[in-house]
Formats: sequence, structure tokens, C-alpha cells
Amino acid sequence: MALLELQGVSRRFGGLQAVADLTLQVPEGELTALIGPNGAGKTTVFNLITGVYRPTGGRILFDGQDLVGLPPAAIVQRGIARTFQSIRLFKGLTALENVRIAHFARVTYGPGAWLSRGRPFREEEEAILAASYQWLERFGLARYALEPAGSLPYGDQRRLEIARAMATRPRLLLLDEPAAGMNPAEVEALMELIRWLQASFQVTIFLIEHQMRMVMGLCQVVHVLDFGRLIASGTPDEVRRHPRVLEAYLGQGAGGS
Amino acid sequence: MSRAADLTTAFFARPASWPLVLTGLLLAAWLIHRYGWLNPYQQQILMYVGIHIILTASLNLVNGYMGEFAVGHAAFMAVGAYVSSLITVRLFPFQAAPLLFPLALLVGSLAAGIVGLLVAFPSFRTRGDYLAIVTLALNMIVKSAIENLEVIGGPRGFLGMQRLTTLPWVVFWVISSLWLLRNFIYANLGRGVLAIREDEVAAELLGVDTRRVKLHAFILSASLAGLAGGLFAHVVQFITPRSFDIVRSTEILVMVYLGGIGSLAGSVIGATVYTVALEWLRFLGQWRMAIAPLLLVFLMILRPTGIMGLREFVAFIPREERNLRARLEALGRGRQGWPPAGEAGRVGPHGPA
Ligand SMILES: Nc1ncnc2c1ncn2[C@@H]1O[C@H](COP(=O)(O)OP(=O)(O)OP(=O)(O)O)[C@@H](O)[C@H]1O
Ligand SMILES: [Mg+2]
Repeated sequence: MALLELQGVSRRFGGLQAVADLTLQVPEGELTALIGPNGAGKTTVFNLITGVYRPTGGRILFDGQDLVGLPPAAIVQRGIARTFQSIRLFKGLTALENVRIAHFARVTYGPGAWLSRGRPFREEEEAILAASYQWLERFGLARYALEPAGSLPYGDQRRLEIARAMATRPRLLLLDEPAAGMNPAEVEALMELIRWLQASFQVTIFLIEHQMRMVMGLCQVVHVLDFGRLIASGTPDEVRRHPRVLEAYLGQGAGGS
Repeated sequence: MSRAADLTTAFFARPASWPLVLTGLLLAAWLIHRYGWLNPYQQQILMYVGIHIILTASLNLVNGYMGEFAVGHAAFMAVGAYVSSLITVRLFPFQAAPLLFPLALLVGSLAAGIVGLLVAFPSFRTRGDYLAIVTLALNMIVKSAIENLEVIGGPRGFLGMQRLTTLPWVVFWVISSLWLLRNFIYANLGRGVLAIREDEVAAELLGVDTRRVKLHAFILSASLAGLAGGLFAHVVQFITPRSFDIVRSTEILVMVYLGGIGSLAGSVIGATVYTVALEWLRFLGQWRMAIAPLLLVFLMILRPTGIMGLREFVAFIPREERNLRARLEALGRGRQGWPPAGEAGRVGPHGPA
């Protein structure tokens, strides 16, 4: 069963067709990749799924329900979380605070509780703190808990962003070029982290990536986008040999691994 | 840090410290009031300081903590001032007014909160200049609305209030307001407020209901400004639309950016320094009014985060949040057997930290 299904999704920006009639599926529990040259429309696809932009056409089904028109916060509550191509941490807040904020929608206490800061408030806050710290521990970030997120090393900022997204307890995790700017060793560690996430938390992962090495090592299915259109889908090996993919990547000389 | 800071931290770490300090403050205020330990002029300045603290902290919630730019806070003050004055003068029997004064203040504050609601909606769109223009317009609309309402004195103003605001009352309301703001900020909605300041889109994409957060922040901010307006009206006993013009709003902005954005301690410092300094500069006469706008421009250029700038005195941080490091250490120790069975199948690639 497909957890996420895009049916003829389109998005125009003025005269530019950023995404054109895109139909694809992300099967539950798997690792699916979305690749394509610069400006192909990959990030736009994520923005459409998460409600940042509204599609000019088509349907986006998550678990069988149409997401189009829902505000981003509501989509997160349905179980979709994401990271950003250019890191968007709350840089001035601590790493811990970044993760605590991700619990926002699940807090149940009301005004009476936060006004009095009594037992129900403290118990729920304690649970949030414990869960947040656990996410930091899992990602090896516990020692930065009380440091401003902006002061973390680059690679750790990327991982903090994933930890923060995971704290919303998503069923589908969208990663937008998580390996961007990482060295080969860091990329290796990141791949291991993603595999571990998927195995441990039963989270479905939809990944945008430029580096073919990462895609080859991780994903069962790859979709290739060029000028907003889907030009190929298949296993990494199939896609890599696909004439139209070679053509698309040749233009910018960044093909293959 | 310094020894003084350590001692303060240690003092406020004790549960009994806060009630002690607050009772002390209230008692002192009452004694000063009752036995005239300070002359009426000095008491009046202290009352202005208190009223300004409430105004500054309330605007700080929107501009400092949430990172928006609202510029017409005097509008809310006006609503609170006029509504509470109308109640104490026209509704309450003369003798009962002192007893019912808190009620009048709360109704005034509520009315201001409702007006705050009107500003919250435009803020839903995007942040930035848009909100500044809306709040500026609101300030002018409220002022000219009052000018055109002959029943409440129109441009001539409104008078007849008893001097119901006393130093103990001011201290009481300052404490309540700061306590309310503190509890709001260091809870879920407050975290949402900070997230909006840092990155509104990212906040939304982590499930923060930014509309709900903004609604709460604006209503809270406007009601506190309304409360301050009510207190103000019952010190000066005579209010006119001009008491709540754009110059007044600018003064509140100055106090926020002087003391420090995103800081309750900063609000206290900003309000105190500005109010006292302005008293010293009385000899300048009308020229004093030029100080606020100039100061605002200088502050925004030279030190936009103010004296405290996003920092906070430990005394203004709830105990649970102050002890974070210790709490995290306790959590870390409690999880020696990580990962818990059933939750995670394997140890993470980076191991338990
Ligand atoms: N908000 C917007 N307004 C106008 N044009 C946009 C907007 N967002 C994206 N575009 C355009 O849509 C096209 C696709 O952009 P997108 O960011 O989705 O590409 P991408 O595949 O993620 O590229 P990259 O690999 O560089 O990240 C680009 O031409 C871009 O300029
Ligand atoms: Mg992109």
C-alpha cells in the first residue's frame, strides 16, 4: 500500500511550470528517492506535500486522504515531517528547545495548567523534556542540549534537524538533500543513521538527493524529475542507465556516482 | 559567573524565596503609602515606573519574544483607560469605587484584549511591515474615535476619576502581570512564540499552530496594556485622546528596545531607567518629547537587542526551567539501560550519548 500518493500534481509559478502532472507513490515502510538536476522541482514537490504551497492541480493522498488545502501544521499532525535543504533550525534557541517545540501539537494541558504550573502541567512538561532529551541522545547530540542550535557543527545541525522532525513522531519523513555539504565519512554515517531510523521507528522515508552514491546505497525505488516532469522511475540501477536520465544529467555534467 | 549571580541563583532556588520577596515588596509598598515614607511626588514616579513596566513587558511579548513589530500599543492603553474610568465614574457608587476598582481594571483590560483580537488577524498573514502599519493605523483610529465621542468628553478629555491607583495596587498588578507573562512564556504556547520569532515557516512545519499562538500573544499583550491604561487613568485622574497618541506608543517602544527584547528583566530595567531619566529631564520642557523618537532610532541602529538582549535574570525564570541542566543529568542517568526494550530495535549509529 502506498502511504503517500501524488496524482497528477502540478504547480506553476507565474510562467514557470515547476511541477507538471506528477504522479508517483511512496510505499509504506520503504526508502524512496527523488532525484533530478538543479531546479528540476524537487523541493517544490516537498513544499506541495507539506502544504507550504498549494498545488495548481492534482491530488495528494496521505494514507488515502487528500491533503490539498490543509495548513502545514495540520499536515504535520497527520504524520508528515520534513527537513530543509538549507538548514532551518531555530538557531538562537538551544538544541533541546528545538526538539521541545516539535511537541507543540501534542500538548494537552490548557490555560488553567500553564497558569498555575501545578502537577498536571509539570508532569506533561517532564514527559516532553524526557522525550526531547532522548531524541538528542539517540542522535548523539545530548552534549549540545543547552547550546544554541546555531553554534553546532554543520553536520550536527543537519542531524539535529532530523531529530527535531522525528520528535513530531511522523509516519513519513521527508529529507531534502540531507547529505548536502557533508564529507564522504559524514555521508556514510548519515546513511547508517537513515537506515537505523527506518528500521527502529517504522518510518517511511522520502528522500531528495543529488549524490547518486547515497541514493544507490539506500533506496529501493528512485524517481527522476526534470523540468518538473517525471522522466524515469525504477531501481537505482535501472534509473542510472536510463537514456533520458543520462541526457538530463549530461546537460550539467553531474551524472552517475 | 560572578559571586552575586551565584548567590541570587542559590536564593531563588529555594521554594520559599519568591513568596518572601513578593510579600516584602507588597508590604513595603503599603507602608510607604500608609505612612508617607516617600513624598507624593516620589510615590507618583514609582507608580509610573510600575505602569511602564506592565506596558513594556506586554509589548515585549509581541515585539521581543515573538519578533513582530507592533507600534501602536497606546491604543490598547487608551481602551483600558477609558473603559475603566467610565466604569468607576459613571457606574460605581462613589463610596464603593475603591473596593470595586480591581473589577473596573479587569473589564478595561478585557476590552483592550478584544481590540487586540482585531490586530491578531492581520498578523496571521506574514510578519514585517504589514503589522506595523496595521497597529499604527489602529492607534490613530482609536484616538480619533475617542475624539469624536462627545459622550466621553471628545477631544476635551474625560475626568472625575478618584485617585484609586495607589502604590500597593501598582506593585500588586506589576507582580501579577510579570507572573502571568512568565508562566505563559515558559510553557507550550511560549515556546511557539519563540519558534515564530526564529522561523515562522519552520515552526508551522513542526506542527506549531501559529495562529493560535499569535491569537494568545496579542490578546495577552493588549489586555495587559489595557490594565496599565486603567491604572494610569486613576493616577492622573484626567485623560484625553492625546494621552494615547503615537508619542506614547513610541515611548513604550523605546522602553522595550532600551531594556532588552525577549526579557522580562529587560522590561523592568528599560521602564525604570526611561521613566526616571525623563523625570530628571523635566527642565527640557516640551523638548522632552523629542527624546523618545530620537532614542528609538539610535537604539535600533546601535543596539537593537537592548541592555538585557534576550537574556534573563534567574529570578524571572521558573524553577523547573532554571534547573534544566540538573534535570537533564538526572534523565541521562536514569537511562543507563538504553534503548528501552520494544521502543528501538537497535542502538543508534552514534550510540547513546
Ligand atoms: N516560490 C517560488 N516562486 C517562484 N519560483 C519558484 C519558487 N519556488 C521554486 N521556484 C522555481 O521552481 C523551479 C524548481 O525549484 P526547486 O527548488 O523545486 O528545484 P530543486 O529541484 O529543488 O533544485 P535544487 O536541486 O537546486 O534544490 C526553479 O526554477 C525555481 O526557481
Ligand atoms: Mg531543492
